[in-house]
Amino acid sequence: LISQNERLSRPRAVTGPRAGGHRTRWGRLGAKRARTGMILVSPAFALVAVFVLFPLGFAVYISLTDWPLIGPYRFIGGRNYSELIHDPGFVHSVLFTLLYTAIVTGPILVVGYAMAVLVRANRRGSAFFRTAFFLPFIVGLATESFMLLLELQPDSGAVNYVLSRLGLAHPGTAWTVNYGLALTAICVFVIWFASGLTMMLLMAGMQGIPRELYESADVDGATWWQKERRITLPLLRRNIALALIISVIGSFLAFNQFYILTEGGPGTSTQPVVMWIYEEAFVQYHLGYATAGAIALVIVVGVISAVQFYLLRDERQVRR
Amino acid sequence: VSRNRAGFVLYVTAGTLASIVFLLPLAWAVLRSFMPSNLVTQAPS
Repeated sequence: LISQNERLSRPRAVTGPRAGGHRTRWGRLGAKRARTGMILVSPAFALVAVFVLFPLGFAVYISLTDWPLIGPYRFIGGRNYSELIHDPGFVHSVLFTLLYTAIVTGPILVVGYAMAVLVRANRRGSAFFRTAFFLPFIVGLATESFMLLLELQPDSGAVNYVLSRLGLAHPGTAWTVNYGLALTAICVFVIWFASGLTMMLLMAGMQGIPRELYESADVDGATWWQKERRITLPLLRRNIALALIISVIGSFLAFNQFYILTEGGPGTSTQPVVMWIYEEAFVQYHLGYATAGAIALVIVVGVISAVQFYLLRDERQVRR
Repeated sequence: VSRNRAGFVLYVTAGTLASIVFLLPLAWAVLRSFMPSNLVTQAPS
């Protein structure tokens, strides 16, 4: 239908003695339409230029200086970037962020998918279940991080109380001052927090799959798993790609939960890359150096998102 | 019919258990907010 409309709206090639006149008229009309289009697009372009392009360009400029937040600065070229590669603090924070992303991305997708399967049909109680699963995401990460901080306290927190009753932990376990325990607690917490969003994204995709496909699979005697594997998963590729990209970018930009629960500790062992940038910029006042780290993070996130988009692209689109 | 009923029972059970996992911590935090602050930081008895 789209190609038919395009064909109808496209001016026909005119031949014969009046062809030149027609071409001029169409050319004039085309120029007028282009001008109108540019006028209509200009407010959006101005907003993008002011709020995205200019800050990004300015950030790149700051990253090439020794900007100290307050006081004079000088242009130092790419020195910030070369120092960044050899900075053990930055390298550790990047590796830690990669580890954290690798741990939470899979479970968020699996739990979100399972919940989406549970509530995708409009059955009795499905609206309540959807709300319940999505509620942690609505309440917000910072609020829930403070809640968890209270419950992780040795001797008084509910986490230790419940786990000690089950014989799984000592009542005095200090979760936030041990690297392994802190990472475990934060990962479980983030999976609990973020699965609701993945569920929503996947459920929206699942509800768009025509029922006829499942009915014909039922006629062919397909099992539940065969229907999931052969119908649901292939048709959900785009939604899965979107959920994965949102999850990976969110993990790369993790800050709140680490800042509130561990403050990057013990030492700097649970310091993600965004917290490293924050510490460098607003605690050490090395704004130029921190901005170089931020630009490097933007590039890494951009590359990972592009690779994910490429790997999970819709093959029907590629063939078209 | 029995297969449908079993499916519904499974759906309600799984949904209820998952709802508890997602709602209980939030409900507990609301309850905690009504406690006096000296009681919140005290060891449970």
